Amino acid sequence: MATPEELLQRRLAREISARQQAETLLEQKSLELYIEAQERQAALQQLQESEERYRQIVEMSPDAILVELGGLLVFANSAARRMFAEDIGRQLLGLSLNDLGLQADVARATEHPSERIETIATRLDESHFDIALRCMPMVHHGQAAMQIAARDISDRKRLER
Amino acid sequence: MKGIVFREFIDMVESQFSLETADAIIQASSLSTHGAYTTVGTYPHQEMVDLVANLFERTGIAVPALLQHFGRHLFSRFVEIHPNFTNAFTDVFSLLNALEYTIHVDVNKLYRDAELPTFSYEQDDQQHMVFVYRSRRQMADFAHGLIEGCIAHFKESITIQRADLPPMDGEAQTRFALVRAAHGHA
Repeated sequence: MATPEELLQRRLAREISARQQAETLLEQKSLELYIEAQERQAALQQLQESEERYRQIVEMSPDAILVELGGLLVFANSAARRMFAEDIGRQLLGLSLNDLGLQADVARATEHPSERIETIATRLDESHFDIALRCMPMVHHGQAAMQIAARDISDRKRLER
Repeated sequence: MKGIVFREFIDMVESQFSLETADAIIQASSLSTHGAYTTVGTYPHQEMVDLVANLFERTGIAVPALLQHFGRHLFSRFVEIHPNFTNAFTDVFSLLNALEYTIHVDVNKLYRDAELPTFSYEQDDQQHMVFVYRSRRQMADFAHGLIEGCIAHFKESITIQRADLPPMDGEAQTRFALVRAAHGHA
């Protein structure tokens, strides 16, 4: 039969061993968390780079690209800003499709996504021009939005007339 | 099985029996770490089986009774260690109802290697609650004790009826039927 001192010694030895196990486990966990954080950071960087590449592609597109959210334009690429004659005094963002004379056409296009629709649009200087557009539902910052890709077809229409 | 369960068991044996008894059952059992358990570790469930069996050999108290007693004890310890855990619930039924889809989900987030029993609920109203406990381990007595501990904590007047069902897909099954007395509280 063990003496009280021996019992206490064995108990202490178990406590020390348990403490060492805990330290090892915590070190392992810290390393796992560090690696997870590194992987998350790398994934985030890749995502940011992908978004930047997409942004550049959209910005450099010769077609006008607009995004409408909640009834208002929230995005317009360079081609769109040129097409609709945006200047310092007149900005596309914050306008509605109705301001561009496109409300009804986009509504019609929404029923037939990707179908090409030809219509007449209104520039910010209130001049009109022939336009072909396609609409596609999308998600913009987590909300349902509409992407409109448009091309100025005025030259072709003039030739046809 | 998580180390905290082992630690609480050995602490219970030390305090309610003796340091000598705890040491004796540790010496008599086949334990991977010779009885050294850290709360954040995970250890073979068989070691708990060995410890309880050796405690029976030493004390003569039947294994089911030991497990049930430990379950009651462990619930009270959970309340002490994690008071926010029980403070989130107002009564026995609300806590037991949250086991499968809330509490164990959170446990799995913290301890991805945790192997937890499952609960499927068959009836739940103000006076009655019926659920089936399923586990690959023979720990229904322990679960029974935890339920008793929960009832004691909330000071409710609830009777437990238990039916051990045939195993299914390698899992032991036990149906617990809880009936709340009309006045509700003990």
